[in-house]
Amino acid sequence: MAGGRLVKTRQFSSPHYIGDPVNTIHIFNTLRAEEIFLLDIRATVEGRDPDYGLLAQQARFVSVPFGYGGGIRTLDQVRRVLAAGCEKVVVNSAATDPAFVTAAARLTGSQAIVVSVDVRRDPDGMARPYVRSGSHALNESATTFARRMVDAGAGELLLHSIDRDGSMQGYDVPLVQEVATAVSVPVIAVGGARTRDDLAAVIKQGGAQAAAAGALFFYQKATNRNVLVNYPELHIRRSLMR
Amino acid sequence: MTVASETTSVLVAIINFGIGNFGSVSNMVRRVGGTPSEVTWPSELKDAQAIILPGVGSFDAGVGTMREHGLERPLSDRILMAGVPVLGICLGMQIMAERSEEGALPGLGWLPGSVIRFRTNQDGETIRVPHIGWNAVTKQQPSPLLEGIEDGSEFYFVHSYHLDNADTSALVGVTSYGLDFPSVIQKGRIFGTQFHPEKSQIWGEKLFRNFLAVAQHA
Repeated sequence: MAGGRLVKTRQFSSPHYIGDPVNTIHIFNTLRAEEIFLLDIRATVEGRDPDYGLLAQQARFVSVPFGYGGGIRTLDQVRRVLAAGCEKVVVNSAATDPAFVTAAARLTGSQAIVVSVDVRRDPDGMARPYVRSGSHALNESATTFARRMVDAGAGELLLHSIDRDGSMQGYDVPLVQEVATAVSVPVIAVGGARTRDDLAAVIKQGGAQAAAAGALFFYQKATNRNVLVNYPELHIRRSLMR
Repeated sequence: MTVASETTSVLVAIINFGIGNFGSVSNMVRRVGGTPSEVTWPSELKDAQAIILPGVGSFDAGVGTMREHGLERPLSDRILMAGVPVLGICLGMQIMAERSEEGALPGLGWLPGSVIRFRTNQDGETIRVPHIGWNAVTKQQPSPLLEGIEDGSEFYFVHSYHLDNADTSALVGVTSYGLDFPSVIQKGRIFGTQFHPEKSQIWGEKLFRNFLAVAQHA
């Protein structure tokens, strides 16, 4: 989400308008998505608070787990996001201070604190974590950062490949393998899904506990990016995982 | 949205532990035709026909807040003496047990058993904690709470601790995550689920409907 509009990015830039966030969330809820994350990609950069009104609005009809990320930097914000009816709070920029992750996990239980590990590969291939919507690199490897976040109290990681974001070229499976093996908490892989088979592949081969997607669920297909919100039905998800 | 006429009047007290998912739980109560009311202090409990202990936060924070607010005694009067049905969700179920590895404070002791952390699976291998995701509930015995819910239906779990040594007569459903653990408990009119029915789509909604029906047929 950016500026109150739901958008889909490519490599964390070139936002493409998808629709109204509440309407789209409503559709995913009706399609019985297993979990929904809403990320406000401009909140930190613009120094804005979460839109609590919008979060409370979704909570009135969403009957699946819902996570929010964007602009989170204080414990009061964490408390208010949960009070608005979210189950999980996603932290990225504020996680550069591990003490914040620890304090948040102590407040809510670690199961509610998800750290988004946003990764871009260096020219030599090293996976490097970024913060502030992918604009600031950290001076360590993605795996080291992921481990530190789990030690600090993160209950789950959203492992987001910036390189693959919106590309619809498949997940960065080796990245997922590396991070998922290194940590003891569930890893949600995101960034790059092109087909529904990719969702199963990143779980089976990559060792992720869950596969998330944006473009795959927003567009008709990779070669024809007309907005057509879609989500595989339960029996399809089961057969993919067989 | 259809409102079940037989449950329209049920006033459901949702206990406020200071942090939690009051919003999601009260929305679900409303959806199945109940009237949710947030309860922070004993005086707010008086007309409650059903009680829900929601589940986000840590064990000591939950049980501690409840005691600081003077809620333990009035709640046990209503639940254990007057037979007002209670549904504990996730942490809300755990605090009804005798104790938990997560905290130092004693639990409410309304349910037999203690709460332990996930460590290893049946083969002694370390498992990923927290347990997060959709998992099947296998029925162990009939309960009004699971009335009309297919055996093996999936519910949404998010937790690091689970009930252990539960009295088998109270065991209604089990779920497997590395090992089998109690996921639905009933002792008389005390009910507990380790999963989050308020986030479990149609089966979660059905479970809430069932719970309100229990309250209705007092």
